[in-house]
Amino acid sequence: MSATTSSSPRPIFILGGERSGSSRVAELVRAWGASPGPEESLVPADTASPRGTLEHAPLVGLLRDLYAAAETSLWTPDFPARVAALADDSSWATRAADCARAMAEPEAVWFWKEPLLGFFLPFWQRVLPVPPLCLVVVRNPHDAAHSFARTRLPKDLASRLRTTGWYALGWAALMRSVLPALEGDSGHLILIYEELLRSPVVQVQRLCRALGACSAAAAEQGAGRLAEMFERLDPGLWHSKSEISFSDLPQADERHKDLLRHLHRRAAGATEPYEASRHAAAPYHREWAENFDAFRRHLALLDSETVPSERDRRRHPFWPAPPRNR
Amino acid sequence: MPSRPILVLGVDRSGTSLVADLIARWGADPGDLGRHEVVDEHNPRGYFEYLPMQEVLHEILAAAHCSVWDPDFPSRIARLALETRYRQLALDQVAEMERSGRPWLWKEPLMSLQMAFWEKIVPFPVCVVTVRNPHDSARSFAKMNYSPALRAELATDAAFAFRWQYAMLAILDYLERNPDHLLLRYESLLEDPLGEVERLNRFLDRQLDVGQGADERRSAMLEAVDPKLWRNREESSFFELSGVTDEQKSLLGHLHERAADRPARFDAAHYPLPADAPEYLEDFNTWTEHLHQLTPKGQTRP
Repeated sequence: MSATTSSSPRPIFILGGERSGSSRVAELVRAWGASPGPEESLVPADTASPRGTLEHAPLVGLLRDLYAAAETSLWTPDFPARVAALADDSSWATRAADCARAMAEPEAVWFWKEPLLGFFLPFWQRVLPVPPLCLVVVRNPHDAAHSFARTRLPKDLASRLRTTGWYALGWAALMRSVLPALEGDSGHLILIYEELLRSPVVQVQRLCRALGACSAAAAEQGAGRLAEMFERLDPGLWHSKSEISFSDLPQADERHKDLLRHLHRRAAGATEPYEASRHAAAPYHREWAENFDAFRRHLALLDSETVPSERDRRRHPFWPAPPRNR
Repeated sequence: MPSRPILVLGVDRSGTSLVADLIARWGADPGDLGRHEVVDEHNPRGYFEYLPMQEVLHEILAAAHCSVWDPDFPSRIARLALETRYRQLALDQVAEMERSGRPWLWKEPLMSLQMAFWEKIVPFPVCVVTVRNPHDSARSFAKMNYSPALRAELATDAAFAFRWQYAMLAILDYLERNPDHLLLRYESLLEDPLGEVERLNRFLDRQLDVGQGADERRSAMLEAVDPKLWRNREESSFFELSGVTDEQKSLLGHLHERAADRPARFDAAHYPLPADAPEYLEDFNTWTEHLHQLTPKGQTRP
């Protein structure tokens, strides 16, 4: 079952880890003219994202259910293939189509932004009749980790945790799901968060050019909204700005450094294919990621004040523990 | 018997308490454990850990101002051994042990990570190093330290394998400078108690220059080996685990060779630790400690 006809505009997927700047990009995309879905369907703002997250609550619920149906952890190498296989099940395909159909009028451009969405990209590529236009947002994982700890964890705990390696391995897993799915898709755009704030004019123009591929009508309208888009870029909100490059961090995994450099080169225009073998996870990274999910679930059980919002309660660390296929 | 220290080195839950018991039965003095010894379900026969020595270990740990997993930790504690305060604290404990005038024994897993300090303090120790499947040690360690609820969700093979790797690399580095050592496999000790106890007995007799009474000592030692205490015994091999590194598997292979008295050259460069391993271990500990503090009193550790 299809959500739209084949002549429909391309939906937009904003893909990036938590605290990577994907909310900022979502605001730009909204200012350009795409819809995040009906207002009442959006996950409410919280202290971590006071301007709102522009996340579509029914999508979050669907992803959670798909995760359970995949019957493996997000952190296993075969998760993308398993979740893609769910597209063969008509009940999932129907539910997915319904979720997409509820986003906007048939000719309108809509977007989804959700930090876990990239893990499910292989599924959505199979169920949507029009391939999504993917915007991949990349930020120094050290800064994103710091921001995550500052906004998502109790202060006394955040001050004692290092979190950079943990964040980076989750981010790398996300990229391992996204990048192979984008091979051969020339329409996607990689946006470097730091560049967006340093060179907003150049980066917003890049973004507008990419978004123009969604539909001719939307492209025409969007071109007149550059001023509105620039208004969304407030460098004052650039918190957790690192003085040190991720590549210079001695405690960071070399594969993660290499992956970040690869993404920076592509964002700068290099046509460089993704080589999965160069960015495979270390054998212990799955345990690390799953254990930290478990810690966060237990923290929520022991200290309800540390669960900051309804939004976080929807997120994967609070989902049921994944089955262990060891 | 002459007074000479015997150190039992190894990671937590690798059989160090059993080996300490054997060495105490052989005739070494573990210090005054009467005041300090803890006996619980995890070690029904006791830990053989001498509290005044443990207090010094913890003082050194605090004075290092970094975690034991920090690459700078060994050099920092080596410098502490030259500082009067810490040197004297440690020497006082050595002097206390030497008062018995016979071989004496210290066992404490944390000491394995602190040999860069203690090798400048303890004169000519004899070392016995325990080697056990780290997967089994990990399960035992988790039972001892985490609640059933948390344990049900946590996997600890990789975290413990790093803990084990740090300890064994520190020990092996030290053993390069101390030839008076013996490696004992926990599994061999329980599968072939007669053979391994005899091996340990011969080693200690030779190192401590003891001649008579070997049969009596061996009999006393054999009584300590109770196969029923071999819990957390895994059918699957560490070498087949998917969550640990090839370097860790290779390190275990190296230790097995040496525990079988086969010559094997140690080169730390063959067993590098990943750059992000210290963060995993430190954050793992921080999380479990934090959850423990949040756990209502009367409940078990998280």
